[in-house]
Amino acid sequence: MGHLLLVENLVTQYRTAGGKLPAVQGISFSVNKGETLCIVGESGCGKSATSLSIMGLLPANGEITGSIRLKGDEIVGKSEEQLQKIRGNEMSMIFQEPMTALNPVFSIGFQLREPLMIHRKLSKKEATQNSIDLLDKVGIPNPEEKLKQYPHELSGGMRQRVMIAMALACDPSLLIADEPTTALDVTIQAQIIELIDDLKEQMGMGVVFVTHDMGVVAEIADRVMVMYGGEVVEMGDVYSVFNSPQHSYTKKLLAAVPNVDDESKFWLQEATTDDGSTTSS
Amino acid sequence: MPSNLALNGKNATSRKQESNLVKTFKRLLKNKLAVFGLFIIAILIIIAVFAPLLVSQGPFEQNLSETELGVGEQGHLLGTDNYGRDMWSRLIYGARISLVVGLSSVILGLIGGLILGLLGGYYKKLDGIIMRIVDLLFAFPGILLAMLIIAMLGTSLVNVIIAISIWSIPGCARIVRGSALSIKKQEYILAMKSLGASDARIILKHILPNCTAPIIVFATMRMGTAILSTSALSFLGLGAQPPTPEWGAMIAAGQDFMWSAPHMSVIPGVAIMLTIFAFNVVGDGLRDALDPNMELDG
Repeated sequence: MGHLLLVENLVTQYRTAGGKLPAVQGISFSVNKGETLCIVGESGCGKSATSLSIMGLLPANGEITGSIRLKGDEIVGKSEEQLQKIRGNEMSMIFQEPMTALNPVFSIGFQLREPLMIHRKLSKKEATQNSIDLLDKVGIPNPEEKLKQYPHELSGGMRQRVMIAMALACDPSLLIADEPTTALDVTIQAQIIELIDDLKEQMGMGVVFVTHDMGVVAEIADRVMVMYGGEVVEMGDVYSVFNSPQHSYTKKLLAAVPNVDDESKFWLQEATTDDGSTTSS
Repeated sequence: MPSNLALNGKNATSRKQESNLVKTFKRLLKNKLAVFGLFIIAILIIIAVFAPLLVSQGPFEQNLSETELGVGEQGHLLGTDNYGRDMWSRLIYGARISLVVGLSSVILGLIGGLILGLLGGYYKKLDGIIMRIVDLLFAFPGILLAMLIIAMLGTSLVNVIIAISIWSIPGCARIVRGSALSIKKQEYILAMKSLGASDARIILKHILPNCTAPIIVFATMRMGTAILSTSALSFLGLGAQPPTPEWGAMIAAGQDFMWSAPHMSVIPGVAIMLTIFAFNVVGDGLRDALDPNMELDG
């Protein structure tokens, strides 16, 4: 009972000229209300295909079988119109590149109004008022002024905040974040992660957080799902996966994280000659 | 106000930015040739709008005692033709016809081209069919296609408008399809979909405004071509019929009097030339002014 998102036996394939290319091969998982599930894995392991499948946003040659239930409501097989009512309303997505995920020719205000006008059927005036509150909520100073600005006038971190505001405009119960911090520098990354975590608490959403950065996982995840080659190789709560990884791939993934304490990786060792004496030139 | 962000060179992201009309217009005004073109177009429009106030004799009024007068003779600014009709009056009424025919055929052509181009660019399934139709239209030399359409519909100015607008469709469709194809792949379109925007909303509200720059340039250039084609068709007797003061028809009428009254052909010819020149230089200027990379030279 009560799972916010329940994915069972999800298979996602792309039809290509050379036959069907499987991206996700029969994975199952669930996300509860107020919980953050991190999907980790290397490039091409099916992380993004999974999140796009949930949103129903696969490219035209994508195919899904299996079951995806949001609040018990089956999503697979829904018509495009039905999906449009759910997207942005019940579930939302934020993307990797805040540089390209905002339309360069429109002001921030114009784009923020869109979800409100689509789902809430608000008038332009009401939507503008709501947008100001939203920008305030995601920690953007001077929201009234920012509404009139264009994406290129904002920094990467600000843009990602705007994206988050757009995604959360209609209080979705599920937020899918597809590597939202990858394109940002480390300090901004930390701020965005903290923001997503705060908003999750405030709004009681479930979050699916896709990343390949184990450091990010440790900060935000409640549970972790490790993917490799389109399959789930390990799933568990964040402490057990980090402390006692079961699968060899998870072990390697954790071992690949640079360790700040391990000085040998960061300092060039002094060149030593065969007899052990140190040379200096 | 928040103008501290308008520092051009500082901004490294040279993607297309605000659809700032004023900025584009300012850049256009730096181009002297384009300003000259704009000046000619402005005069044309003023003349066409206020035509009845600017003439002493109607364009159809004949005065058989004052035929084939030269430029400036007996109070006729540009002389008279073989029926004693005032050339100045006919010329500025001709400007009316040219502008109306040019504008309406470009608008009709744009509507057709936009619909085909946006549908073809956005829906992969329709793309093949639409682009083959466009290729088919492209396969005919333009003026031949227009003559073919007029041959089917009959000779009249309205049919000229229809013919020229059909001729404008394929060029516009290709330009729009190209832009739509590249814009469709942008992440912000995916982001809009993830917010639940419908296809119609995405096409009309998010893709179309991104195509405006190439469309504006195309439309301006096309105005010149449309006016030239109207005159060409009328010259061949397929468009405006004799008493109508259409520039092409006027050249045709003057042909027989080339030796006795050359101004009958030369004056409308110069008018056509200036008009097309004006639209072309403005189109060129607009293309440069709308190019976002120009900002860096600013």
